[in-house]
Amino acid sequence: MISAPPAAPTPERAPSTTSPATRGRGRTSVTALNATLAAAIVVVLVLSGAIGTVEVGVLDAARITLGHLVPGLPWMSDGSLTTLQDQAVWQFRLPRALLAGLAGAGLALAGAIMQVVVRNPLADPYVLGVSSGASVGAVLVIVLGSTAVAGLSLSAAAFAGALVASALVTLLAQQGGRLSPTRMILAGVALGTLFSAITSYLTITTEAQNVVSVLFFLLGSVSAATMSSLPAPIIAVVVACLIVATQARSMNALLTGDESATSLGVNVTRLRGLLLVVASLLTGVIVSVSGGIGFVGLVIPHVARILVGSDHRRMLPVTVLGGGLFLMVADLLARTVAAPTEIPLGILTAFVGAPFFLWLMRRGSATRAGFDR
Amino acid sequence: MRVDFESVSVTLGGTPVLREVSVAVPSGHFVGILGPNGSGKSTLLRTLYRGCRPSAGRVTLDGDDVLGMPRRELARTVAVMLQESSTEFDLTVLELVLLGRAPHHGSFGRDTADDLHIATEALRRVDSLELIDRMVGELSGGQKQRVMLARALAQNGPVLVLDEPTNHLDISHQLELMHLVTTFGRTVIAALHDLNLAVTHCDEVAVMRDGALVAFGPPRDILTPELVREVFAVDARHVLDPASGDSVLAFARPAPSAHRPERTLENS
Repeated sequence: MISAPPAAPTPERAPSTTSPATRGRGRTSVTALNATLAAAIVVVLVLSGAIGTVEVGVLDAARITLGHLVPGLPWMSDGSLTTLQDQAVWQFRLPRALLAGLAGAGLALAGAIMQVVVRNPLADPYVLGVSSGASVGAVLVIVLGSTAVAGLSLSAAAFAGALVASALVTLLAQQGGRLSPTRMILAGVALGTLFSAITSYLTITTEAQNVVSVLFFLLGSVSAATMSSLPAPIIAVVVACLIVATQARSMNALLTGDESATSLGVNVTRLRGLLLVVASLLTGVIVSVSGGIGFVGLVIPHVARILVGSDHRRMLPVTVLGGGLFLMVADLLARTVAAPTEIPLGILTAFVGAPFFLWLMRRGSATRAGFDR
Repeated sequence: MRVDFESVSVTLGGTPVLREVSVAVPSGHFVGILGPNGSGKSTLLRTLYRGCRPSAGRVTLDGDDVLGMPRRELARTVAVMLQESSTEFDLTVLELVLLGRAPHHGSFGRDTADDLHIATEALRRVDSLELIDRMVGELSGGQKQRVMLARALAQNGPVLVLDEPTNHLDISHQLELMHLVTTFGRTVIAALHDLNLAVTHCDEVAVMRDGALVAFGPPRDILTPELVREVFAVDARHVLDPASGDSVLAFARPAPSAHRPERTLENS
């Protein structure tokens, strides 16, 4: 076991003769990757402002955006931009691009958290029935009208449904104050199926004109976004990022098992509870404004792991930025490829994401995320 | 640092798993916990690192109840080498060993050059430096076990807990590991299955059966053929190793079963 002769035990901190030339590898490339993702997000944001039925040049889109953020810029009042252009960019295109970005970032983060909480690569933000709970709330409003659901708006009803679902699953899964990952997954699947049945029943018995609205919610869409839909998801994503950032090392420990994390000084029950609450609230907020956008929460965390490994201090920033970028691109495509028809985001994420992910998975570097066992 | 298990009882799901076990481990001693499968060895170790809570009794480190210590401080004091690491989401060997440094830091922040040095040194000591960039999930059982020991070494506490540390190791690495842990001057408590390894390396052994302590003391006094026969239900006798002059234990199935295949003592 030791390379030193048995009679001469090496001092505890003898200078290491072999230096790990390998350690730097992750660091710089992660920084570069994050910078690239952030730059790409800005580019896609400006492109989103420029692309659409009302013609706005890329430069004008950037000027309109800047003009709303910085007061007193000359081009906002010199008549070079029409009101229509200003509205198209600032009232419609930017809010939905931003909401798509926030939803992608939030769902990817929630997915990464849930995968650790239940220690299962197949987990996504919806594993505890959050989206099926939200769907019941939303579909109730669509089918029966807001007054029938205590006057709640669609978003509020969806958020309430999401919270009820995750609270129920957590209650059913816990035993003696302990949350078993397996029980959580099974309870989530069972309750999710039950909620989906309710949604299906409501959908199939309602008038035909409601069905498209229901489908758009189930598959996810940010087409209704306005600037006022942004604050809630902004707060949710920022707060979740801050909380998770303080737990990254403990989350790494949790990857190696409950017993192992305990032996490293992690209060596993408390950590799991905290992460569960963060992921559920984050998912609930996002689903309530953008519906049940699939795929991004399951796959983006894996993409991040393939690229930079499983250490949360490296993979979480990549997950958040990558999720945001991915959904912004998907939404841009959702409203352009079949224009003027709009495609639900969930369909786009699957169409764009699945082939990309499969290609990445088959590359050798997937070994780094433990795909080869 | 001395470790005292004081009348520790543990009940899991209504079933008593440990019954009033008292073991006093003097500072710097290497104590082996022996006993058949399911005798409560691992559970006894778990009460030390708060893997489970005693229903009665307490475990103390230099007199301080482990339940009263902050978890992180306990993890800086008691380093644990577990049998397995979950690999649903795989880490590199270096990342896993660096986790041993987690109790020494906050929950966020980069690994320092110091951490890196300690981790590579730990890997070097367990003869596994060449594995540093491999994925843990790809390793063989024995390689994994050496890496898990490196993690415990990087954790760097005055008390080292080993749960069946040698069960996947080849004979050479078994002997090296047992030797290595005795060279630290740390208090070592290990659940072991190989009685002869315990005899040659442990200062004391605690023999358990059905959750209760059967005997405790220096291994050569305790591990008599009679006791082995009674606790493990095998025939045992001392045979002399002419080279060392020491006696070693030889085992056989109890009498009327000569035609059936040998049952091994190895872990289930």
